[in-house]
Amino acid sequence: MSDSIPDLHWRPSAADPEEYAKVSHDFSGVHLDDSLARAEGLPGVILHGMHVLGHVVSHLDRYAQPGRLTSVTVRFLDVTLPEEGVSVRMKPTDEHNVIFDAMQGDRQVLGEGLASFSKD
Amino acid sequence: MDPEAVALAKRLENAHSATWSDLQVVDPEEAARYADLHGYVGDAPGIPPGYGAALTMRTVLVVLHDETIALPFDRNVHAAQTLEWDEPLRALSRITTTARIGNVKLRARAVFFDVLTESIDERNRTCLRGTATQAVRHV
Repeated sequence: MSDSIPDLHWRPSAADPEEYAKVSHDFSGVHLDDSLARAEGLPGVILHGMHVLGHVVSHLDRYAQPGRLTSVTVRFLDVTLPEEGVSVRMKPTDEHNVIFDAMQGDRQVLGEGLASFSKD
Repeated sequence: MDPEAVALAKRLENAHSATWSDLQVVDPEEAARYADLHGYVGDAPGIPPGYGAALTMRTVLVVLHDETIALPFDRNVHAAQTLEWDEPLRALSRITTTARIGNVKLRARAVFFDVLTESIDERNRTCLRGTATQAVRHV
């Protein structure tokens, strides 16, 4: 694993839910239909949790040398919205493990994240 | 306790012996689009591991929409996820993902349950295992 993995910051675009739906085949209305999402009490369409986690996994994969990421676990604590910045804090605990969490504004959206890497 | 939640927990428990399987081919063009969408700059080295996870979610969705479980989908949220990679995915591999129901917990505010997945390639090697924890809020 790299000696240090930088924190991750990105701003999801308005098109992200639709683009991710094409890959995951999750076309749920809360991800694609603004009026339906609002009827569900949400502020608008929300990102797929696995899309948000996918950003974290891609970041870990790039910085820790591709193929060495062996596992990831995380809790989805709150909805993540398009067009608002997401910040993921990475904290290595030893040579093979990184804990992480993510904030969007003042809301924690990912928690208890743990990524592990092979020793090779 | 919400009787609807009790009934849902029972249906999930009854589905413990059921399995759902789905075959996907690792599409290199789709994987490249996934890489673009998830912050890879330039060509991703191989198939991004998160792409495999996205493929397995297709099978999880089949479980969540199963008529015998009759999940109230509008009250269901993806609460947690674990992923374990055993073998890297390769372009054009044929990946069979098998899903089953794991732990079911009836709690005061929600029914929690796990959908366990195992994805194997055409050589019968396990590529990816996952646990997708769902939470269905009571009415």
